[in-house]
Amino acid sequence: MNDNAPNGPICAAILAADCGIFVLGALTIAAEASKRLAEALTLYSPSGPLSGVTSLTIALWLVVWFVLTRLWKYRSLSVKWINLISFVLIGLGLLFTFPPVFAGK
Amino acid sequence: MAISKYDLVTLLHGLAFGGFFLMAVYALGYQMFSDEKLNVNKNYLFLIIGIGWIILLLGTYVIYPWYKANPEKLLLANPNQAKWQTFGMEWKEHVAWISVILISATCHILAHFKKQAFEDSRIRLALRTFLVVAFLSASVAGIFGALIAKFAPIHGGALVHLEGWIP
Repeated sequence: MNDNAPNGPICAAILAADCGIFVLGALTIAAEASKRLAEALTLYSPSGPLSGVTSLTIALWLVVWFVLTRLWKYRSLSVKWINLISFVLIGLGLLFTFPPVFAGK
Repeated sequence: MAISKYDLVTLLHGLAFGGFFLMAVYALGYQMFSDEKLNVNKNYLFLIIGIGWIILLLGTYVIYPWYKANPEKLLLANPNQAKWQTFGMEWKEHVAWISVILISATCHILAHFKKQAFEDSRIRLALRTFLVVAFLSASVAGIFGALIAKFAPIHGGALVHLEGWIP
């Protein structure tokens, strides 16, 4: 392991992507559960709520990435913990975007 | 040899861009799992990111509305075909975003922090995981896209004549 260069920016990219995937899953389930939310997330009506779910996901992902990169630019973090959190968030994101789960069937 | 505009755009989305994206992700994954040094141009990594986003945006904002206008209704009207929409398309339209987000992060890390990515086994584990999940997610999107196109093809728009392209 290279102890010289800080791994903060790398961890920021990894964790931000995980957060994005988790948010995608959470919004998918939420939009399916609430008609009002689904309508609010319909930013582009030909694409339906998917337009808002994905737009919000991308916005949050990029904001988290930017903030974490600024915070961790010169830091080195425990990649072991970042990976653990990563597996959980990706797992949940994949689960929540699986139709039998988010459609409740 | 005419093809409708909608068919042509759908083909570009799935076959051209999607095919390139899947192969590129597989190739990156192959290099990450091997012990060889990653030998890939930064511009190529950014190209993969760019193609991924083109696929997503074309799919969500151009092709998906065409699909919702008519083919979706055809699928839902037939009990034997409805699951292509309620399961296949519903899964595809979400899981594709997972793939591109992961690949964007992976390519960014490889482009700017390649040395660290290879020297730190835990970072390498994270990237390998990203690549495997991205490849499987993109495969799901591609397979269901191809199959749904067989049962509910998207036709429409002006005809594009391809004869002029053939020597």
